[in-house]
Amino acid sequence: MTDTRQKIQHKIVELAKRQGNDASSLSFADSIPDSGILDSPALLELILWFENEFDLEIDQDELTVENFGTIDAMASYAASCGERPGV
Amino acid sequence: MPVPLYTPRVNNNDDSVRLTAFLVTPGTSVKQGDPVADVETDKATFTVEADQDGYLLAFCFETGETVAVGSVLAWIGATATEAVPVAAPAPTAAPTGATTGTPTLKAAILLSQYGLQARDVPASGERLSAADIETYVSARGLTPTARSLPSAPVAVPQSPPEPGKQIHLSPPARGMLRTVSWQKSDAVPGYLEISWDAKPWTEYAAAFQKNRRLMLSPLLSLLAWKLTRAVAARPLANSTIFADQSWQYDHVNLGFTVQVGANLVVVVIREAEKLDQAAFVSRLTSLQRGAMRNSLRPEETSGATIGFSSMARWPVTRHVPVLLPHTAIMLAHTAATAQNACLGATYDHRVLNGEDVVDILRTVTLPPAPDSAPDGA
Repeated sequence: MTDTRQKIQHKIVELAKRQGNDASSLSFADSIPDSGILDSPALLELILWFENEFDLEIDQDELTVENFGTIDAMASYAASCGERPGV
Repeated sequence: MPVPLYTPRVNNNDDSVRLTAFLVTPGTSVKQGDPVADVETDKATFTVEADQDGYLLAFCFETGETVAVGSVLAWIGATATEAVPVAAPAPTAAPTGATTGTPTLKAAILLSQYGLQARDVPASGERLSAADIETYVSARGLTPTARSLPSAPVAVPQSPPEPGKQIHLSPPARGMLRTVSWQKSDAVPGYLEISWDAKPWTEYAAAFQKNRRLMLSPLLSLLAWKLTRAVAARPLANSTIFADQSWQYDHVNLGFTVQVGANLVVVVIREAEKLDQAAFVSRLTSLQRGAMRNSLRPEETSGATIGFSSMARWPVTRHVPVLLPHTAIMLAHTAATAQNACLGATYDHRVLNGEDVVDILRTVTLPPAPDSAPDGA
């Protein structure tokens, strides 16, 4: 799980850097949307990367802060998808 | 049996086009509507599409060649191995529906310049051509009348004057070229902008996002939704000029620009006037994701009747977008500064006037009343 979190954090830092923002201090529990370090296109890019990285297809209705609002939430979502049959 | 794909007429004034690019390789399977080649005139670029399913067997010309309108451009067969006829058949119908002896446009201009009537000059083919008239006047030593001397002929270069190589444009680049060319050749673009207070919309969008637990800010989507409402209430803004007539669309199809890597993609929400805010936001997010995955269907990138463009993320404080083909308005959203925020629009002056556009912009700047969201956002 820690490895998953670090991967996500690394990607966020990379995307934020492209926008001129520093996300290195973003903790696993910090709210990504509230932090303002990624705008909507960058968040979409993060979601696309997440789908590819963890071989997932995320339903539109599941794009919520509960599932993707923090690095912890994203890692948990990836783990739960791995436990779901057919996902 | 192979069937011919004829060279289309791009402009009324041009009897020939230049073949600029092959978009499929001979032997490739094509579906009706698939782009197969790009042609151009001095005024416009046009993509020729397959008119039926089959296999593109062969092209009859090379890129860079000038091709007569109505001649066979390519052959399409039911299988990839059919033999292509050696002699191309004549078009089944004249592209413009002209009758025998009718002068082409260039011929009509020459007739006028020499003070002749069409019946004076024998036609060598189905239509009276400029060459027929030039032969006729040359044999008789005729000169143009003083009032209608033609201007000096303009040499059209076959390539730029400096050495270089031709590189085929990508599909997004061709789309952009078509868009820009349509605005240049057809529309009469104007641009205006108004100052506005972005704070009420920012607050409304934040509440909307919070109440629905959305990951992404819905601000731009909601502004675009409001534009569809404003346009639905003003049908003139959802129309265009086509063949010198007003063409009013049945539905509001919103084109929304999305930056995907180095390309600008326009995703289209069809029948947007039927969607409430939440459905619109969800649909637009889905299309944006599709654009980034490069998985959009053709109908999701075509048919826009209005447009919305934002350059706020860069952050640009003013931009004048190009109208999407056959649309009358493209809203321009920009970054707000501490001192000012402006909302602009490019519009087709043939369809809308400045007052119409200001009215639409003012409407868009007003967020819905707080109680209009389903859950009280």
